[in-house]
This record gives sequence, structure tokens and C-alpha cells, in this order.
Amino acid sequence: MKIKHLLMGILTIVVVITILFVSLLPKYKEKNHNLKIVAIATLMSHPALDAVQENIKMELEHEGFREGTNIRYIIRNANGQVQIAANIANELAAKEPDVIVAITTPMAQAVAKVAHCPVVFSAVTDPVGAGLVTSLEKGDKMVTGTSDAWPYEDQLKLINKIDPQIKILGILYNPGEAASQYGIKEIQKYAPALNFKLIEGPVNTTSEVYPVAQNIIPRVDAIFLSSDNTVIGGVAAAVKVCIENKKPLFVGDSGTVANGGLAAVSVGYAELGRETGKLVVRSLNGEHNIPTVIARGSEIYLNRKASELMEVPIPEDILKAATKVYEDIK
Amino acid sequence: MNWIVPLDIGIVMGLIFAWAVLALSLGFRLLSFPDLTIEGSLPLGAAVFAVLHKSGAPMIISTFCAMFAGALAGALTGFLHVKFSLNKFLSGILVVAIAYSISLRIMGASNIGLLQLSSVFDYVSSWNTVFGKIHLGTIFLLFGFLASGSILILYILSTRYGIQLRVAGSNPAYARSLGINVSVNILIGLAATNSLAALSGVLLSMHQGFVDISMGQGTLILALAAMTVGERLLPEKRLPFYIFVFFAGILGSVIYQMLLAYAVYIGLAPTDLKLATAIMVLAVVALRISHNGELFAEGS
Repeated sequence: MKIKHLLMGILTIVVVITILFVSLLPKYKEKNHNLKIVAIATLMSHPALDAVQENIKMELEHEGFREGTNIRYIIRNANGQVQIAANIANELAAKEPDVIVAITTPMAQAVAKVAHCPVVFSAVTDPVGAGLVTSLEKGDKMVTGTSDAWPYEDQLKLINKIDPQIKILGILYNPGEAASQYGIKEIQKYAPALNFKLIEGPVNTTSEVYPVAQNIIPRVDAIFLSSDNTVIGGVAAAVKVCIENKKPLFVGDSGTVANGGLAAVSVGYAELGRETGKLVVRSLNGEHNIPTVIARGSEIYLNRKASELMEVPIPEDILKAATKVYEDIK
Repeated sequence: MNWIVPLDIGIVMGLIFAWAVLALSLGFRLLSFPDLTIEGSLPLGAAVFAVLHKSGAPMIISTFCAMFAGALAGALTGFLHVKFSLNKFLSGILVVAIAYSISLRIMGASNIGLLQLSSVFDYVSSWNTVFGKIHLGTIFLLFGFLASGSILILYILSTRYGIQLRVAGSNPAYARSLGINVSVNILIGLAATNSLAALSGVLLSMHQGFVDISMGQGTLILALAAMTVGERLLPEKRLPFYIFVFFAGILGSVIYQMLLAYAVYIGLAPTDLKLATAIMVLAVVALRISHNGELFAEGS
């Protein structure tokens, strides 16, 4: 019986604490017109997504929305569980904020389904494919946002600038990944304009990167990776093959350049956050039908060591324009 | 009226996940089969539904195909267990892995958006504004599904065949002595329960507007917690065991989702969310600890 009493005691304490918690919460209903409420929903915490969230807030502060005085944030995090996404989306929609910012694809979809206020998504690779907006250019009435799709056009242009002799590109990608399925279509779209011929090297697992790279390297001038977790996981194998054959390896994000990719034009997640913040401001000002903003890859990353080992010199002007030049291969 | 929001979310999500909880609890309690397959059959059902619905198939046909796919996954688990004498857990784990790859293959992408498509909830969306923030239409519809499903399942369980199935689950040796084919019954039973999990996936994808390959993660833990909560709250002595198991699953699912919605509502830090739900589940369990005795303390 003692255990029962103890448990009942604990239970009572828990209930009392939760009731206190709730009663002390600010009343969202009493909103005045000067105070804007922005809800931010994200699927999980990781460095890139946290950078987006931070920079949204910074951009809003820059535009004169100071937290506590004229703007309040409601922040929800699904902790990586897609199942909670709908739960959070419903809860935020019921709080009737002025704008809901949804970070990552599943979160954006869940929020767009239930929200009655403007929705600004961020870090969604393919907003049209995800069904969030009908087209990138026009923008929907209530939904807009930023896409973190890799800047494939800029990346292909960079390849052309570094060595105009490159005509045949070998693309390593995993056909089972959504991001690279989108990527391969984009590459196929922009390649003809720059006179690139493509040879595809489908890779299903990380351990297949080496044999597939070896297989296609004699037929290509350079290798290019799409935004593909499988291939990026096995990038060391591609680096090895490229060094052995003295051919350049082009990648698409800064981390892979540090691991031995020759060059990349990378999406900056901080910049993505700032762009998202600008869209939030426009939505707060009552603008509708805002076109989707695709992150422009303004940041060039280079690896000097890879350039030496692959015997591909990098032109001076590109070296100067680079955000960061890695001196060694990790 | 804000306090009513988690209540509303809890009921809607609870009625959706009730099918998945039933899939687990019917398999667990009536067939004595701790079935891990639901973690895979839920996203598999959602994937099949999304692809068919997106390609223009009628909603009802897509749903039936999804349930059939879930049933196949369940039958495969049963087959691995009875044919190769594979451990119950291991056969479930294997099928979850298989279902993951197959779902990915069917979807052709890791995420499919259904926002622009019709959903079954569109028919009742006009009711959702009647009572302020309560999604009355959605709740009525889900409740209607569950009620009609309950009548059908409880009827089947009460027939001669249903009794056979329950005997095969609860006492295989006795069932064999009566000439009941235990293996076939387990296979059929698992196929049936997993088609319920697939239905849960279909409803969830329609409600949230997308299918993601990772949406099945955590189903098992959720269902197990919901089942435990439900069984603690319902008086098991007053009802026939199979009816008790059935309603405990539904009640538990709704209560669990309410607790979860409440934890989200009070804005707990993401790091504390899981702990908070665990404590709340424990509190419910502790409430009834002396009442049920040992019946539900042991695992299988």
C-alpha cells in the first residue's frame, strides 16, 4: 500500500506542475496589432537547420522586429519524428500566428495542409514535387518559401570556368534518393547549353562508389556528384579514383570539398535563413503570391591539395572569388 | 478556449493511430504474436496509397490496395515464422527492412506530397468550422470508420472462425488437439492486423498531406505505450477478453495522443518531449497499478 501512496503522491505533483505550467503560459488570444506572432516549426536540430532558424530571427531583427517588443516566436521541434509533424502543425495553426515558418519538407507539407495563415517554408529541395506550390515562379496565395536545391547551373558553369576542355561529365548518383532524382533532372536540363555530354554512373550503396567510378573514369573528362547522401558517404573512393587518373572531381557542398573534392558552388544555409527571413517580413506586411526563392550558390569552395594531386590548375580569378580554399584533404 | 486544442488534436490523431494500435494489440493479445511488422506496414500502406492516388486511381481502390499490401507484409512475417521457425521478433524485423526498401521502390522518392489531391476529409471539411477550433467533421468521420470497423472485426471474432483464431493464438497446443491449423490461422491473423496498420498509414497520409519514408519510425513504441495505457484504464474483468483488448487499444490510442498533444502544446523543449510523454504514460499506468495485478506486468 505504501508504494501506491507514493505513486499517487508523485502523480499529484506531476498534475499540479503541469497545471501551473499551463496557467502561467502567456495568453495567445490577447494579441494586439503591434505584436506579430511568428511560429517556427522544424523537424529536427542539426547545424544547417539551426543556422537557418538563427538567421531568420537575425534578418527579422534587422528589419525592425525585435523579439519581446513587437514580435514573439513560438518554436516547435519534432525531434526528428515525422509522426509528430502533423501534431505540431495542427497545434500551431490553432494558435493563429501571423506567419508560420516550416523548415524541412515533411514539416512544410504538414503545416501547409492545415494552416489558415501565410506559410513560409525553408530548406525544401523540391517545393513543386512536394506539392507545396504549383510553380516556382508564380507562388501560391498563402505559401511561399526558399528551396535549398543545389545550384546545378552555377556548378556546371564553374566546371566550365575551371577547365573549358571538359566536355564529358560522369555523374555518380543513387537512383533511390529523392534529392538526386531531382538533381539528375536538373543536370540534364542545364548540361546541353554548356555543351556537356553526360555519362551516368548509378550507385546503390556507398561501397559501390569505387567500382562504378573506376568503370566510368576512362570514358569521361571529369566526375561530378549530385546531392546524394550515398555517394557523398563514399566520396573518398571517388577522390582516390580521380587522383589515380589525374581527372578532376567536382562536388556540390563545402564539406565534400574539405574531403577532397576539387571545387564546389555550395548552398549557404545562413544565406538561406536570411532569404527566408525576408520572405517572412514580406508576408507579415500582407503580401501574397510571393514566388519561391531558390538559394543562389554564391559561395565557392576549393581544395588546393586536390588541385595539385589531380593536376588540374585553378584559374587565379576563381581562387580570388572563393569563400574558402582548403589547403589539405581531410 | 485554447486548452481544447490538444484535446482536439489528440482525438483526431488518436482515432487515426487507433488502427495501428489495434494491429499491435490484436496480434499481441489474441494471437500471442509480438508483431514488429506494423512499423513497416504502416508506411508501406501509405506509400501504395500515395502512388495509386497520385496516378489517378479512386481513393477507395487505392485504400484497398494499400491494405492488401499491408496484409502481404503481415502474411510474410507469419510465413517466415511458421515455415522457417524463425523467431517472432526476427521475422518482424526482417519484414520491416523488406517493407522499407519496397516502399522506397514503389514511391520512387523518399517523400510524396498529397497536398493538391483530394482526401476523404474534404467531404466533411465544412463541419470543421461549426464548433470553433474543434475539427468536428474529421472526428465524426474517423469515428464512423472506427465504429463500422469495430462492428465488423468484433463480429468476425465472435463467429466460429474467430473463436478458432483466438484459440490458435492463446493455446496452440490445445488448438492442434482440436484439429485447428495453427500456422494458417497465425498467417491469416497477421495479414488481417497488418492491413489495419496499413489503413492507419493511409488515413495519416491523407490527414497530414504527405507520405515520407520515415513516417513509420516510432509506430511500435507509440502503439505499445497506447496499448498499455488503454489496458490500464479499462476494467478488464467486466468484459470478454477480446472486446476488452479491442476497446483498450482504441481508448489508449486517443489518450496517448492527447498526452502527446498536451506536451507539444505546453511548448516543452524538444529534448524533454520524449521524457515528458514517458512520464505521463507512467503516471497513467501508476494510477491503476494495484487494480490489474500482474496480468499486464509481464511481456508476452
